[in-house]
Amino acid sequence: MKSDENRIYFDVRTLIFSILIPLITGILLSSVIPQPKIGIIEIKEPLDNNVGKNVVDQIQYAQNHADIRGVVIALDSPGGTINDTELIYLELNHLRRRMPVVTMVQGLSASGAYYISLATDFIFSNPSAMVGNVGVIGQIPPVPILLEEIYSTGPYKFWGNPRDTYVRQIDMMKRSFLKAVEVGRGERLAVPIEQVSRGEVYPASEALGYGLIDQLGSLSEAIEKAARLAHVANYEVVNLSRLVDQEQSEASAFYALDENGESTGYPKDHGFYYLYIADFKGGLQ
Amino acid sequence: MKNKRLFIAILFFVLPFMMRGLWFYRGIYLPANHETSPDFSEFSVIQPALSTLPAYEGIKNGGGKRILFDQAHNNQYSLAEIESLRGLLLNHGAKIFELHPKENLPEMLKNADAFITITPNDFFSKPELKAIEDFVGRGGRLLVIADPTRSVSESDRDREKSVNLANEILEPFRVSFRNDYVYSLVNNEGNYRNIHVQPAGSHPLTTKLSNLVFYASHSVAALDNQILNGDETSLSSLDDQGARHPVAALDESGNVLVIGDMTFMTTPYFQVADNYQLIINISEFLLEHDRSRTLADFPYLFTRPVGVLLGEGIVLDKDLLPAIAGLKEKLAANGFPLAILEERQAGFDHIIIGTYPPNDQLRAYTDAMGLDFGDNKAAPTPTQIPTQISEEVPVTPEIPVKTAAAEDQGFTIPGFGKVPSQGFGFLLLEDKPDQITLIILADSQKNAVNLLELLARGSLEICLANDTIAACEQDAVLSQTIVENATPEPTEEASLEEESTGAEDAYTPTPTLPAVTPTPTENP
Repeated sequence: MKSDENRIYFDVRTLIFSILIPLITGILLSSVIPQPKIGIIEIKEPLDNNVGKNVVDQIQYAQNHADIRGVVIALDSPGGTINDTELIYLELNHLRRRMPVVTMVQGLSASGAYYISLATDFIFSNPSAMVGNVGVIGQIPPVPILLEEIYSTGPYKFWGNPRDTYVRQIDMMKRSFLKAVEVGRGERLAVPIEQVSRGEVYPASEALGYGLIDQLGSLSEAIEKAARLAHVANYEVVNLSRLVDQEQSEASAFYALDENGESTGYPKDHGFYYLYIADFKGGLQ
Repeated sequence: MKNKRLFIAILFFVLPFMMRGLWFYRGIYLPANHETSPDFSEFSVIQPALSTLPAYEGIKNGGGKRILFDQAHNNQYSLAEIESLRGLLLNHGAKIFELHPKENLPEMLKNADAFITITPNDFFSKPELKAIEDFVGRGGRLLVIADPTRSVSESDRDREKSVNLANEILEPFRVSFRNDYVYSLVNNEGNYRNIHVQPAGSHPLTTKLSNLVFYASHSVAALDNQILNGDETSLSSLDDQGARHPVAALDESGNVLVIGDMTFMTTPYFQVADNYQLIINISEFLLEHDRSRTLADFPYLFTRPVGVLLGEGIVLDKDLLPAIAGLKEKLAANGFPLAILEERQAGFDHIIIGTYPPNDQLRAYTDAMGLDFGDNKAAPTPTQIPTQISEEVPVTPEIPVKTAAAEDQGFTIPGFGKVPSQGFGFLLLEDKPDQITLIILADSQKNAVNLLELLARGSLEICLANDTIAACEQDAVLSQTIVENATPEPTEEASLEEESTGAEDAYTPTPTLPAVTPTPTENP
């Protein structure tokens, strides 16, 4: 009889100490394993200094948070400055060493925006979006002049280069863009790179045939693709811009305005751009 | 037993971790192991083609040529931009004039050897177009340059404006610009629109040319006489097709040169490849020719000081003297002094005033021009021309075909037919490379004076005229003279704004009659 009591006592004790307590403890402590998140970074403006910094902050956030297991870049942008485009491009390439990055084109992925998508693993696009416009635009500086009152220490101190050099630098940047296309698309690119260099912008369905994108689809499919590439399930989707402390910098107009206050369609600052100008009205000053 | 309980405890402790882990994570992400971004360090700026600036050998016959630059049609360039061409022209004695306002074009073309219009963006009126066509017909050189980067438009519908305006000028010459630009994605000079250009054939304009660079160029449509072509990789923006598109061409006469780019003449691009050699060739094209003069070019008929010779029966009286003074004033305004000579002199162009029927001195000219005064008098050979004309007078050897004019007591004028033997005065022009002679012939000294005054006023439109002969009805001349005398002509001349060439004019007109002594020097 005593033996039976001991067995019962033992079973209860085993149940409590060997099963329930470890299980409950395990359940409680297993929450340290985070639910994976797929982060969304939205780029829906021309790429300038502010946009570039915000996007880089979001990429670094994903880089530094283990629960972010994949990123979807939601693109609807004509591109922007070469500098900001390259900053984002390089940062995304760095991020890809840790997690998959997928592009979802939601309207326009032109020039610098398309450049950015080349640093992602897969490119989705809605069918009517426009994709491409590979190339560079730039405005060469005015003819150098000498002023009586202002001295400089060299002939190119003011302007940096002979004017002709600017043209050649633009060509150099174009070549690096084309190389990024070749590297980014690899064997998926179905047209000669010379055709890409023409700078045409294609409907997504046509761009798909040329191998500039991978699939027509929706944002949900892009998110699922990122999750699949990251080998995660039951994930949470988060908008990274809401998780990043963004400095509120004063937004400045990207495009130059004419005398009527209307956009000329051309950036207000001199420089080089990976930029698609669909409604360029001319009249550069 | 104790170990068994411990094992169970661990198992149940780990189980939630495994369950949660497997709930969320189904595998491990492996990044791509291939190159994901370009090696940016491999890109560098490609250096421009080496300049082949040639040593300039000079132009033999360029001195004194008058080059008219169009600045009146909203032209999108400045002379400073094309200093490479302008400097060459000035250095070789050419005189450069700027056209503005555009209404002066017909008048200024009379005094020009070449007309250059670059990127016009304002229309040419019909009289202007006609004046240009006539100018080229007389051997004047026309250079038309368009440039895809120099078109001004107020709306999208105006985009083709500059090319269309240039093509209006070119319409009679069967050469035109295409409203495109030529580009090459494969073989270019730093940018797809900076194309390599090669000579299309053997022509003075392609002398010493091997490879040039044009910086955004229209292609030109020319049946033949292509001068420069893009290379085999060049395409037209119109259809993204083709190869070796012509970017410079001549018209059939060889007097009209069209070029689809002007940037190649600007700094620093004129120094690239053989571009400067092309500019030299263009300057020679503009300078090394002589265009024929016609009566319509008056008062710019002459290229030297002018000597007036009085024919038999003409005396320097109170009527003739003021008429000559008026003519002297007119010519002096254009840099040509006038003197009354007793005989022909080398280095002068001549105006001969005489009465008809012409004496032997003048008959050589009238016969050479085919004028038949109906007296059946044979023209003397040049060696028979007597006295006052000491220098050999060039005469076309063919004697004109005689007509039935003699029977009708009228004059026969080639191209005009018969005119009455009385009541007409004639202006006859002989344009030889070494001498220009203008003959004023009337039935009396009084009418010759009226004709001279008419000439000085430039009112030849009342006369029946072709390039070298004008027949003027004396009554009309007299009426015109009366009207003109009643309404004094404004003294201000047409605006002929000559650029300073840095050189003094070779001749200084003397303000008083009867004679002037020209400075016997030529332009250096």
